Order: sequence, then C-alpha cells, then structure tokens
Amino acid sequence: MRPLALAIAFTIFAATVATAGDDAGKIQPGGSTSPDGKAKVVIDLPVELRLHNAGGMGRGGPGTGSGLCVPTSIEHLARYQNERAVWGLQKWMTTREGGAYPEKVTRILNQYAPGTQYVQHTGGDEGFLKLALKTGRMVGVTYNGRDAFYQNQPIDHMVNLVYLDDQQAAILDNNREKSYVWMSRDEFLSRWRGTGGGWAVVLLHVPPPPLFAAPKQPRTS
Amino acid sequence: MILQLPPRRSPDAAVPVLVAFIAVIALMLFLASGSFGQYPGGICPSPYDPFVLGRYPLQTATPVAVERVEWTPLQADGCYYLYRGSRQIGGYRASTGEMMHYVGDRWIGAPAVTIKAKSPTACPCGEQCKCGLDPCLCVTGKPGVGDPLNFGIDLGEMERHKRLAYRLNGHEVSREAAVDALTLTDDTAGRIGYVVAVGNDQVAKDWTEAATLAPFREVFAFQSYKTDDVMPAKLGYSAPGVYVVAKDQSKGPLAYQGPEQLGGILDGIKNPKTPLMDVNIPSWVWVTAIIVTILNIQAILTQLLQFLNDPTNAAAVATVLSLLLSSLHIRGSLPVFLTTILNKILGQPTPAPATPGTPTAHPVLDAVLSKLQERLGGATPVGFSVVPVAGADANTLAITLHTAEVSAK
Repeated sequence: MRPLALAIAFTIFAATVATAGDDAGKIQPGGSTSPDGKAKVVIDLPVELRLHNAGGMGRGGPGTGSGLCVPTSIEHLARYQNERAVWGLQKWMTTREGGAYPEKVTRILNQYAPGTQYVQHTGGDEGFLKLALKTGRMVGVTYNGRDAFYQNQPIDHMVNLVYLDDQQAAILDNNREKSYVWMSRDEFLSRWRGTGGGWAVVLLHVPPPPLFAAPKQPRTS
Repeated sequence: MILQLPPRRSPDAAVPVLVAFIAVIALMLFLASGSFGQYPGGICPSPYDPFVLGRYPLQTATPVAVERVEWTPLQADGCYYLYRGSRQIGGYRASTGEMMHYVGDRWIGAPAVTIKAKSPTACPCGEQCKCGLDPCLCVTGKPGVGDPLNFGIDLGEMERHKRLAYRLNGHEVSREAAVDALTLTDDTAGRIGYVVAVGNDQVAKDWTEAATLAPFREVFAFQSYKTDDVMPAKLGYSAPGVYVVAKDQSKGPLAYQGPEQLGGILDGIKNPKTPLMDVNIPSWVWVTAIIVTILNIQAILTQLLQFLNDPTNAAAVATVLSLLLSSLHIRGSLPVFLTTILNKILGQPTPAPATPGTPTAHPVLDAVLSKLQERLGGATPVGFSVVPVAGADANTLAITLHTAEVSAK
C-alpha cells in the first residue's frame, strides 16, 4: 500500500505543478478569426505564400546551420506587400550563416535587395506596431515563446504580427505556419519584449490593395 | 532484413515500486493532456506528444522522467535509428526512404506503413534537427552557444539593442522620422486609391517613368502583380488588366492603352467635374414630391385660378409677362399679339395699336405717350401695353411703349 499512497500523493503534486505552470493556456492556434469571434486578421497572408523556418549554412551544408527565422519573417513581409526584390531571401540565406540582429538585417538587405525601404525598431514601443498595422503592413517581431507549443519554455525567435488591438493579438509563426496563433495583447507584448527588449521590422513597400468589388453591370438580357 | 541494429538493451525487470511510478507518470500525462482540448481543429501536434517531449525535455524541478526520442545516424549503413530513451523503436534508410517500427525484438511494417515521423534528411535543418517531426522545428543555435531553443536570433548582438531605437534603411533616426516613413503612405494621409496592374509590366514601367502619371503617384498607391500571383486572385483582381480602386468607385479590369488613357481615368477621379445643377436630392424626395403633386394637382390649379381672379394679381402677372415678352427682342408684331393674347386670358383690356404722333383724344394719355416717345429717342414704337398699377387706384395705369430694342414705361 505504501507505493500506492506515494503514487497518489505524487499525482496530486504533479497535477498541481502542471496546472500552475501552464500560464499560456489562452495562447492557441486558429484561423483568421479570433477564438472568441471578436477580431479578424486583416493582414492575411495566403497559406500558399507562407514559408517554414529553415537553417542557414552549417557544418552539414546549406540549411543545417543556425535558424533563419528573421529572413523568413522578412520574406513573409515581402510576399504580403509584393516587394519582389526580397522574394527568395530565405533560400539565399540557407547558404549563409543564420542568426540575425538589426545590423545584420541591414547588411543582408543591402546585399540581396538593395534599395528596399524598411524600418527597424528596438525597445518595445507598442505604438510603432499599431501604426505599422494601421497602415496595412505586416510586422516582423521577436517572440519569446512560453506557450504550449514550445512546452512553455522561453525561446528566441522572430515571427510575424498580423493583428493587435487593446485586447488581442495574432501572430504567424514560421515554425507552425499553417495557422495563426491568437493570444491576449498582454501575453503578446510580454513575449515580444522577451527577446532583445522587443525588436520589429517593417517593409515600407505599399500594402496590398483592398478587396476588389467589381462595378455593377446592367443586365443586358 | 534491411535494418539490423538490435536494441541497445532490454528493459529491466519490473519491481512493484517501478510499476507504481510508471502508473503515476501515465496518470499525470492523462491529466496534463486535458490542455489538448485547447487546440480544436489545430494542426499542431500535441505538446505532450512524446516526440515533442523528446525534443524539449521538461527542465522544471518536477520529478517527471520523460524518455528522449531521437534519431541516431549510423554512418556505416546510412540508416537512422529512432530511440525512445535507450530503447530502439524504429529505423529509416535514407537511400530508399524505408521507415519501419521496431517493436520488441523485431521489425514490423512494410515500407508502405506510415509512421508519423518525418525523415531527418527531409527536415530543412538537416541532421541538426534530428527530430523527424512534422512540422519540423528548426532548433538551431548560434554555433557554440548551445541554446536548443534559438530559432535564429543572435542574442549576443541583441544585447546592444535593448534600448529604444528606430532605424530607417539601416540608419538610426528619431521616432518622428520612423513614424513619418510609415504614415506618409497611409490611406489617411490623403491617398485617393489604388492602381493595380495584373499581368502587364508596361504599366509599372509607365507608372514610374511617364510624366503624364506624375501628378497621381502621390495620391494613388500602385501594385503590379504577375498573372499567376496568388495575392491578387485572393483579393478579387483575378483577370489580367488594370484596376483603379477609389473610395467610392472601382473600375476594371481595363485594357491598358497607355499612360494618357490611365491619366485620364485618374484625373476624372482626382478632379471630379460637378454638374451645375448637381443637387444631391435623395430619390425618395423626388418620388414623394411627384405623388403629392399628382394628388393635389386639382387643388393647385384651383388656387392658381383664384390667385389670377384677383385683378391686382392678374395685372401684376400680365406686367411681368409683358416685360418678359418685350425682352425677347422679337421683331415684328408678335410681341403685340402675344401681349393681346395674355391680356385676353387674364381679362385685361386689350391695348389699341398706337400710332406715333396720333392724339388719342385723351390729353393726359397723349402727354404720356409723347413723353415715352421722347424716351425712346424718336424710334418708331412697335407696341405698347396699358395695365392697372398694382396697389394703386383704378385710374392709375402703367403704360409701356416699346420698339424692337427698347421699352419705355
């Protein structure tokens, strides 16, 4: 009976710890509409244009080195805003060393797509994100993980911000790019600032046009 | 058999305490799996998938022993072997793509058997990923750093950037400059609309080079897509051509005929020509007015006739109409005729044709006519009218004498 008693006691303890540690329970994948149905992603990158994260040049050859979450996120921006010069950046980077920071972004864009107009921000200014989204642009943002997909552990990563209001946020994560990931505004801001204090990248190319509503044609027959 | 690597060792003999411990683990995993319900319809693997646990062993202080699941390459035979902890559970031969389970002490399944695992070589991370998971997580770190959860951020360099800063095209700028860079192309900053070209590179070339289109570059955003691009099709710009989308109108797809054609269309939107009588009256007002008029047409006519029955009103109307006829500058006797007709209709006395210089046997009237003739500068009058003056007594008359060009009253 003693092992059984121990097992029961341990089960209660483990369940308590597991529940307490699940502070990211509300972070969940979904479609273009938020789980509560109150928000909808406007900056909606078609699934066909999404990329999965890759590795840079490593000891095993192209694609085996450090991660390319930053070039992948930037190419997502370019694909959404039709900045053609930046398309193919991720593939180009697989033959170069991965891992990125603001100066490196400047360097690789100067090399791969000279003339590209872009803004980078560090320091976690939420207003910058909101303004970029308001002007119809997708944003590359650092993301600190700590959600169930990453076993609630902190990570170092860049994803795309596609929605942010005073209550909710949605990201497009290039490690699970088939769906969006919804969370509260506070949860997002905490995870954005969790890596490097909050780094963001925005391409200045014009955003895509609005949905086209064909003019009404008179019926001729 | 193709894959011949035996298990590293057999499981130890079970003891009662170990059985209880395994039961605890199983129960805990069952309880924890309650969070799986938070991902309805999601595509992500359960975070408690033992494959995932193998990639991210829990690092908390909880005494939860979870076996690692990992691929181990064996260079000698070009195969990868899948282990859960120390126990081999599968294998993969890269050269043929064959994947099999290893259960107990034997291989099961044929190459056609689907194993929910991805070949390590198919992962874009290559051997460094090792997980064989789908989706593959590229857990890579800066070489030497050894952080397994870094997906591509250089943390060492980022240390210098933990401060508020804005960079425009690589150069550090003020927040205002960064905001300007974003807002100058914002819709709220005066943009009228979009010009979208699908499948026509010439439009993009003209948009940047043609002087005709220069006035519109600041107020219209431009996008040029290829015919097979996904984005325009998703947004409704499915057919090749040029589209112009403004806030209250849209045109397209148009056959592109050059910058002059496009400039004309854009100019029409930028500078709309307002008609002189452009009174924006809602259609319901027109309909209501027409219905009321039809229903009251008899009452309106009755009121009009009552108004004209009053001699004063009739005189006023006659005077106004006479002046209007006089102003028509119609030569000949038509004005006199029309005036006579009007006076008959309104019940006024028909003026007699005047003969200049001929006394009318009325000294006052003769004097007036003489005076009027002087005002006409001696010109031959072609007609005149005599009507009572509104608001005066019945003996007060207004006499208008007129030639083809002028009139004197």
